[in-house]
Amino acid sequence: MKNTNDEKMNNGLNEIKNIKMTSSEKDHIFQNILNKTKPHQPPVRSPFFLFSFNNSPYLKFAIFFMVILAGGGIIISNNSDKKIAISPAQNYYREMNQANNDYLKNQNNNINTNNEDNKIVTVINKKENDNVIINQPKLATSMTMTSEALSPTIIYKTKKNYLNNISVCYKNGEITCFPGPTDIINQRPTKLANGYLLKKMPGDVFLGITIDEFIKNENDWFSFIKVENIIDYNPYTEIYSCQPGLSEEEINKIILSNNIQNNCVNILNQN
Amino acid sequence: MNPETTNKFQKIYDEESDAIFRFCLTRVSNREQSLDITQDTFMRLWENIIQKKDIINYRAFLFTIARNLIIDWYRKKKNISLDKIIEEGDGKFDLIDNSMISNLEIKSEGKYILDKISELGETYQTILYLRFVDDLSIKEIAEVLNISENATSVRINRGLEELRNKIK
Repeated sequence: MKNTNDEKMNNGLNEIKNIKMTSSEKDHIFQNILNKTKPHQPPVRSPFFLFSFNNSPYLKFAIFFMVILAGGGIIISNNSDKKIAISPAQNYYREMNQANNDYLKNQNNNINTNNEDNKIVTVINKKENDNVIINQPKLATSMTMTSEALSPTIIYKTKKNYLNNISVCYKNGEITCFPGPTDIINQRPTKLANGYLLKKMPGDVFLGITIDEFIKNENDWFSFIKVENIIDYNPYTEIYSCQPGLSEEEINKIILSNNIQNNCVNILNQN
Repeated sequence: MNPETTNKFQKIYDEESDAIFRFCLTRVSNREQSLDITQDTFMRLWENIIQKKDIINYRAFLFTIARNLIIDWYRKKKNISLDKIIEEGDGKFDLIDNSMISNLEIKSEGKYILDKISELGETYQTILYLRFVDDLSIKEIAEVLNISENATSVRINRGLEELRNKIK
């Protein structure tokens, strides 16, 4: 361009070069770029990568483990005269059933129900030598008892009156769980002694939407589930996780005898 | 985010953002759109940087992305049929927008030169702009336009000659 000696052209080019963004535009774009970017996640590895023949070390490991696993299975079945070889999943369910069985037995002992007519017998495993018998109170199904046995009893007090408000789970700026319009009728909290409430609805923060509004708008209920509708991110003054399966009467007894700290775990700081 | 990565990106952004914005503004019809394309261009660069992908020449990379985004924008805006795009080729879409020149906030001499560059054939417009306005090297221009360095050099000389004749 020096050879052109054309001052007019140079001036013109310099003027074009002066076209610039304003500093606010520049900053705005820069911040947008940094804020919009999601952290890079490595690609998900295929669950079958071990079996890829392109990767010989993995193949060797795979064969080694296959031999070990096969050998291990044979040993289990050979060494046990009475038991049969069981898979990890079977073993897991067996342990779960045993735990439930123990829990239910304790419950039954506590309420002194020795009458055989008041119990039903469930056979978990059909093998004669491997039967697991669960004693359950009459009129309760196995499924109901199991779920009640596993979910803790949550009692709480709030800063304000959220008795009729919807609660949802909130994590990392997003709502991760919320009640459904059909289930919510049975999820109103129950009033307990000394102003405590029994939690039945999932969630740790409250929306500014009432349960009645939620039920009324059955076709549009999903529009309520927004982060903008959260009115209290830290609503609890007290919240305790008590042993599973407690009745309202039992909880009230605990509350009135000032034994919450002994029977329940304070989970206020964990929320 | 790793501060070293952010600093590296910020350095490139500070150095090249005005050039990319200028490149976009002379080709699309409004300032807002140019800012959007500039943002998208640097967003692509940022994604590549955080994924630790190798970019040999950042300037060439940025101008290539900006040029492709402008072509995409024209395709969407003008709603041109696929047949017409294939018939005319993509090169037509990244030329200087004549209607925009009068709206640019530059002095008369700058407008005059830009107007004269836009009168040049398609072969020379972008090459001369990248060489003399944005000061890209012949190698960088060849990379952006996906042609050989030799062809780039020849086109610059011929385009400059033609521009001189127009200015006279």
